[in-house]
Amino acid sequence: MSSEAKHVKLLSGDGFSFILDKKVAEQSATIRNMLDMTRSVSRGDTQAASMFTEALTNEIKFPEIKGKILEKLCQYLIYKHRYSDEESSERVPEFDFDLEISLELLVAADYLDC
Amino acid sequence: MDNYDRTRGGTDGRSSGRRGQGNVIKGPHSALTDYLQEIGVSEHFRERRRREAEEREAEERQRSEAAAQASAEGEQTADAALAADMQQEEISAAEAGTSSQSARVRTRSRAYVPVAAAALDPVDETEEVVVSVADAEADTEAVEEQPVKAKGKKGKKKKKKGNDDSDYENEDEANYREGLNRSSARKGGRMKECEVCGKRFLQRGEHDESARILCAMCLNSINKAVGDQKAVSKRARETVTRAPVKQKKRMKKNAGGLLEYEPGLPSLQDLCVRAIAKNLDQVESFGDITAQSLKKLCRIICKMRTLDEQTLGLFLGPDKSSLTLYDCTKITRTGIQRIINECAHIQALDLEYCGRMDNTALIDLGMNLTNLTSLRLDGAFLISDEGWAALLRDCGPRLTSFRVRFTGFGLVAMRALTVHCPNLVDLCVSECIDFDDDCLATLSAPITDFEEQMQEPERVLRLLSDRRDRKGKSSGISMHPRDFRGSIPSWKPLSKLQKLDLARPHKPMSSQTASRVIRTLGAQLRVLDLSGFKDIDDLFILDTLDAHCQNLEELYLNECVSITPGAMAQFFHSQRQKAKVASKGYRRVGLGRCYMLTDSVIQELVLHSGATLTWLDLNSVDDNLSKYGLLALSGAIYKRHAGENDDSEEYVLEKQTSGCVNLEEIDLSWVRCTTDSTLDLILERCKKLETIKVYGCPYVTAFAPRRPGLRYIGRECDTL
Repeated sequence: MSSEAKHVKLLSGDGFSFILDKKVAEQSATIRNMLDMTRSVSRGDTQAASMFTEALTNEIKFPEIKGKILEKLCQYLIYKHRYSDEESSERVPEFDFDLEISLELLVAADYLDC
Repeated sequence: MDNYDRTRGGTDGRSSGRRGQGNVIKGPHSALTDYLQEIGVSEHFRERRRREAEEREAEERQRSEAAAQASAEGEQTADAALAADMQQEEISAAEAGTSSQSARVRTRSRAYVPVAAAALDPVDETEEVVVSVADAEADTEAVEEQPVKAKGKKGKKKKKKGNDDSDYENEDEANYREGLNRSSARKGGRMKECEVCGKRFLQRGEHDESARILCAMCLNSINKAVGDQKAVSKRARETVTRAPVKQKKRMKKNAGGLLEYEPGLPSLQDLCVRAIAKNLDQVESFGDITAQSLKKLCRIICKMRTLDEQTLGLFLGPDKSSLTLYDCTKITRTGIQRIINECAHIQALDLEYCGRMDNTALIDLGMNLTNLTSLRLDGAFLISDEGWAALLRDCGPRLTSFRVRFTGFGLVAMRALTVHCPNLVDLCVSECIDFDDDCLATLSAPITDFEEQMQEPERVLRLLSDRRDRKGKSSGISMHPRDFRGSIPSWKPLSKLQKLDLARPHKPMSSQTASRVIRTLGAQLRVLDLSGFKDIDDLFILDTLDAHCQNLEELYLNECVSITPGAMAQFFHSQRQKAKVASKGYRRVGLGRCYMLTDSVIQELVLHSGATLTWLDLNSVDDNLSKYGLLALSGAIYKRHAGENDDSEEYVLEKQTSGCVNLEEIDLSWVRCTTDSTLDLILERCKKLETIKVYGCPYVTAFAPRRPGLRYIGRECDTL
C-alpha cells in the first residue's frame, strides 16, 4: 500500500532525509514524473506499465544534492504550495535564502525543474 | 542650469549654495550619462559647482558678520533692522529667483517688507511681526538680538531651502498620488457580477465575503423589500466596516519589465538568478550551470546594466561555442580583446548595444575569431561602411549568418557582401541609415549603368574617397585596388540565402528594385521581412511575391501601407490555390500597422495557413476590421450580406473551418474590435494560445477568458 502513501521521502547525498507531503513535492516536474504511477510505454500492442522504482518506494535519492540545499528546496516547495493561490498580492513574502548557496541552489532547481 | 547659477552668483554674490549640497535624487541614467560620468564630465561640473557654492557661502558669512558688527556699533537701530531686513529680503529674493518652486518664499518676504518699514499691513506671520515691533521700539537688547535672530531665521530658511527641492517634490508627489488614489481608476475596487441581474458592476471598498454580491440597484430593491429599517441598519453597518479600511490597490509589479513578468510565483530558478545578478560583484565564477540559466543570468544582468569589464569574464570561457551579450555599452576595446583571447573558438557572436565598437575592433574580431560563422551586431553605429567591407573581405566566406542593425552599412559593404559571402543563409540589414535603394539593388543582377560600374573596384574606391571628402573624415581603413584581387568578379546571387530581413529601412525603397530582388532570390527564401517598405505596391505583391515565393514560412509585411487590402486578400487567396498542391502555410505572419486591412484579408490568411500559423501580428489593423474578421481565427468564416436597408448589414456564417489551432502568440493591440466574447470564441479553438497582446483594447476587461498558461500583455485592467 506504499503506493498510496501521502508522503514522499527525499534523501540528500550526505544522508539527510526530508519527508514531504506528496502534493507539495509534486510541484517539481522532475519529482512528479518520478512518482507518476500511470507512466506507461507502449510496446507493440500492449501497454506496459513502466513506472520508476521511486513511485513504488516513495523514496527519492538525490546523490548530487547536499542536505543544506535540499532543505532549502523543500522549503521552497512548501512556500510555493502555500502561496500559489495568492498570485502576486502583497501578502506573499519574499522567499529568502543565502547568497552563498544560490549557485548550487540554481543547479538543483534546474534539475528538479521548479 | 549651471550657466544660470553662475550669473546669479555674479550679480548678487550671495546664494544659498544648495546646488552644491549633494543632490541625492537620481533619475534613470542614459547610456550617454553613464559614459560622460565615466570620463569624468559630471565630476568636473560637480566640482566647479561645489567650489562656487563654497565661495558664495563664505562671502555671505562675511557680510552677515559685517552687518552684525555694524549694528552692534550703535547705529540707528531701526536702520540696522531695516538693513538686516533688506539684506534678508535680498537673500530671499535671490533665492526665490533661483527656482520657480520658491514662489511661496518670495510672497512671504514681500509681505514682510512693508511691516519692517512701517508695520502697517496685516500680516499673518506673527513671529516676524513681533520682531519688527521689537525693532521699532529700539531696545538695545533687540539690537543685540536682531542679527542673531535674523541669522537664525536665515539659517532656518536656508535649511528649508537646502532640501526644498525634495520637500516640494515630495509634497507634489504626495498630492499627485492622492489625486490619483481619489480617481476611480486607481481606487480599485473589483468588477463583480451581480447575483440577481447578472450585470457587471464595480465593487468598491471592503466587502463582507459572506454577503451576497449585488449591484447597487438590486441591493436597493432588495433592501426596500426587506424593509427600510433593516436597510438602514445594514447601510450603517456597511459604512462602519467601510470607513476604517483603506484597501490598498493591488498593482501588479510590471515595473520589473516583462522579462521577469510571469504569472504566479517566480520559480526557484528565477529567484536564484535574480539573487545572483543582484550580487554579481561577489561571484567569482558561475561554475557548472546550464546554458539556459547562464543566458537568463546574462539577460538580467544586462537589463540591470551591470555588464562591464569585470563581469564580462563570467560569461567567457574557452569551451564556449557561442556568446551572447545583450548590453555592450560598457565593453571597450579591452573587453573585445578579452572576448578574442578567451573565447577564441566561438562560432556565434551576438552583441547588442555595441555603441563603443569601432572599425578596428570589428576587424580584430573578424581576423581572430577563425571559427566565426554567425555574427549579429546591434547598434554599432561607430562602424562605417568601409569597416564592414573590410570585415566581410576577411571572414566573408565562412559566414552563414550575418545580422546587423543600426550601423553604417551601405553600398561598399553591400558590394563586399555579395562578392565575399557566397555561403550566407541568413542576412539581416535593418534600420541602417546608409542602406538605400542602390544597396538593395546589389542583391539582384546589375542592370543599370551605375550598377554595372559598381562592380568595378576603381569605381567603388572613387565613391569611397568622394564620401570621405564630403564627410571630411577618414575611417582609418585604407583600401587599395589590390584588395579586390584579380579581375572584376562577375555578379553572383546569394544562392544559399534563406532568410532575408531588410526591415524598416531609413531610405525609401522602390517597388521595382524590391521586385528584382525577389525575382532573383524569391524561390529559395523561407523567411522574408520587408517591414516598412512603404512603397511596395499591389503589383509587387501580386506579380512578384505571389509568383516567386512559394517556400515562405515567415512573412512580415508590417507597415507596408501601399498595399491595398484587396491585393493582400488576393495574394493569400492565390497562395492558397498554389499551396493546395504543396500543403504548406505560413508559420509566422506580421501584418502590423497595415491599417486598412479588411476582414477578408484575415479570412483568406486563415484559409491559407490556419493550420500552420503559430504567431500573428495584427497590431493597429483597426480601420476596416470588424469582429467577424477576427472570428476567422476561430475558424468561423462570415460573409457580409447587405440587409434590406442600405445601412444595415448582416453577417452570415458561411463555413466553419478548423481555425488557427496552432496559434501560440497573437498581437491584437489597438485592434479595438477585440472584445472578451471574441477572445472567448477564439480561445475555444486556439488551444495553444499562450500570449495575447492587447494594448489599447478597451473592451478586453478583467473578465476576459482565462486559462492556465495564458497571459495577456498590456491589458488595461492590469496596468491601471
